[in-house]
Amino acid sequence: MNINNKQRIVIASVLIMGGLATFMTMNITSAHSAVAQVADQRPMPPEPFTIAVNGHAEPAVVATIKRGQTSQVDVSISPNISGITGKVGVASVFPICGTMNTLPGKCIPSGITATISASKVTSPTHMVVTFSVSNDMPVGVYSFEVAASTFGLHVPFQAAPVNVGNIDSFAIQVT
Amino acid sequence: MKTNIKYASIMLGALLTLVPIAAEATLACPSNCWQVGGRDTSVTAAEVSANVDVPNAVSNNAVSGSTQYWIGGYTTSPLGTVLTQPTLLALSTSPHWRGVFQTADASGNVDYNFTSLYWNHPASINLFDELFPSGNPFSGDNFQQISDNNNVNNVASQVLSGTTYGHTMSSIYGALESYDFTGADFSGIDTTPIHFTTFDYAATYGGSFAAVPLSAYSDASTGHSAPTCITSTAGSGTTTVTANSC
Repeated sequence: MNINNKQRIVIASVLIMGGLATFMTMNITSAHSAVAQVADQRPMPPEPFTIAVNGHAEPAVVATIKRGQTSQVDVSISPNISGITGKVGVASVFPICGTMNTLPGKCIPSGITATISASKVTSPTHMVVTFSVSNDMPVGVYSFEVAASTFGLHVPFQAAPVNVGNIDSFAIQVT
Repeated sequence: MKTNIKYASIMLGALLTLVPIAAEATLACPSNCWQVGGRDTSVTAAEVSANVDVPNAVSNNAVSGSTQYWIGGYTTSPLGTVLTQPTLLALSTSPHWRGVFQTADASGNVDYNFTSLYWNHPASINLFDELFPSGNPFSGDNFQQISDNNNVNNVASQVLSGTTYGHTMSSIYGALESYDFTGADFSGIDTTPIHFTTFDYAATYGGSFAAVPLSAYSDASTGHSAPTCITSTAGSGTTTVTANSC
């Protein structure tokens, strides 16, 4: 049987297409079976805690502190889910300048320390955040946040235990 | 010879048409959900940042299915692929959108942190997502920040350290995502599209920012599709999710 050039090209193309289709089918099949391998997304779990800083559950200026002084603010944290334990912490929202790269202007000078009186919560609890402001801290309003998070929580929609937390942002004014 | 070239061209065209189909086979939305927005897989990023305009509310049905919009990207960690995403989550009561930080991997290692930040339309929000290089004190952690461009006190951040999140993102997204497939539930955003603007990335930690070359995409889990009334456009550093007569 004689095969001309045109037929050769068609046959070669069909073979290439067939091979490629087989290859792609394997890839697509493996991609589908590999769906479990890629990051999975699911609906949100319930939020585990209610946090209020000096009674504020949303951002507010909760204290005015003079440079060189120490001040305390009240924090209340209540679990919303029976039986959970939360790890508690306090930190400035913006990183201390020079410690972490962030967007321009979104860091704060060092000069404020913040400590919280408890490290975990298992039931509705009041605790205290103590701020110490250095003499050379620039005057201004600075954002902080109290966070409580629980680990290994079994929640609806999630195939495995998840880590879930709440963050309450607030601000202090340094004068 | 002309015929040969014609046949060869037809075959080459068919091949080139099929290659993107294969590329799309990597699903980003495997669990009964859909995403519409912009994405990029051509750059590697250590940091991504985007401004976004807060849209109107979506309906209660969409909310009950969990609806959110977010920026972020896929990282490669020792646990496999991890998705990091600062997010605005839809709520059924006013204010209608809430800031949430989240990461997720295929094994169910998930971190969610609900912030105390809430918004209604109109507002302009910045979403920021960052990974740290080897040797950095935060190496392996993920820093996410949500901030109000018009109110410096409306800001929250989180250093997520539940696992090793990797050092760079291999693909970048800005998307509306939902587990609700009813287009009518999104009529609230007919008049207020979700604009992601100044969508920038830095290839290295602390490096200079450049616009992300985003392309419009729509993605859904197998057997599902996004409501046809929701579409997106994208360009360099910008993507917009639009609802049209939902």
